[in-house]
Amino acid sequence: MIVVLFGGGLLLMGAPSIARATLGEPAASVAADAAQMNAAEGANTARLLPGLPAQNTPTSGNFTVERLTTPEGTVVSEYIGQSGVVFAVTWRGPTPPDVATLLGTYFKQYSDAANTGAPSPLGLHASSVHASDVTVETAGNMALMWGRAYLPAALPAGVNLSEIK
Amino acid sequence: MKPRKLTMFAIVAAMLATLTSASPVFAAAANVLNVNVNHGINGQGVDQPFGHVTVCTPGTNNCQRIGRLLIDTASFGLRIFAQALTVPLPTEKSGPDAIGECVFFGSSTAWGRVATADVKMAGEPTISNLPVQIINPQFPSVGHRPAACNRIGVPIARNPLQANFNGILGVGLVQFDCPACVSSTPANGYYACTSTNCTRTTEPLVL
Repeated sequence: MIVVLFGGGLLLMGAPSIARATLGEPAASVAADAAQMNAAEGANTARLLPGLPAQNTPTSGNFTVERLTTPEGTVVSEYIGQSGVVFAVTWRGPTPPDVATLLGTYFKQYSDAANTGAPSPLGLHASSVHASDVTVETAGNMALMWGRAYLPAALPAGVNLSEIK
Repeated sequence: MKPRKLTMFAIVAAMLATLTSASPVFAAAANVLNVNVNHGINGQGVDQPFGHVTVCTPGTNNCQRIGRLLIDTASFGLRIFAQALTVPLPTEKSGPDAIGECVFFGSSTAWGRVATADVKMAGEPTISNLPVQIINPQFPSVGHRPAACNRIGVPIARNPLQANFNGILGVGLVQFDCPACVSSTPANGYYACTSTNCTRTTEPLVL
């Protein structure tokens, strides 16, 4: 595995929001995401929060998981199908990752859907947004944020949503 | 010489809920906050508890009772929509800059300046100079909310009707809303703002 460790800040200068992202993109975009977010590839287990279930351990052979850890200690998991395309992204940690980067071209669709209609029927601390091509679930409080975004039409055959966690 | 900006919120409230009725059925008592459970301002929400506090311009008797504050056990501190506020509350400063705060909740994001208020609630003595967040998506001016507070995707809390509350009374069991902000500057943290630009900043704890 290539470990991508970029110095803070430099990549954010000059080329804002290139956001070659993730969801729906080839697996190579994981490295681009890491760069965009100044994240290290791989999970930084020393900073995982206690008491949480194990994250992103594939239980079927239909996909692989690449992990990033943001400078704030949030672990991002990118789910890649056999076709080599990222079909889901999850995050868990003290602060949300750059969701706009992670969702790439799907971010606007999600954001537009999230910003229309009634408040979340799940209350202040959780929401589930079904845009036309992407589903995004978020939950959290001031100390722990969790999220899951996936492309329903791109889920590999045989993959259960419960495996994306 | 400069007043240290206050950052964190400390609210302690004992609560007693009055179930679903529109008006409290218990007489006011010390350390008891009457709570109504309903569907919120726009009537479209799930059942949630709402309470009220009185906020005053610090050191004055210029006060306002603000109701329909969502009682939230998973956040900390008092946050009030600018549209619901009628009394002037001074903005916390860092030198010439106004202090803003971005708070991510699971389904929305609250952005706005940090102000101080004298707060009265639950029959308890007045809490003087309490830092509170004034939720206002147009702070510091229209179009200049920091990008870092936008890149999560969940809606920005825009107004009471959209959010379904006039504010949030966070009664979680933590004294400070962002202890890490003393030394780090997460996106969900504090900002120093001119009238057109906000940059992340650390904030000291106020004990």
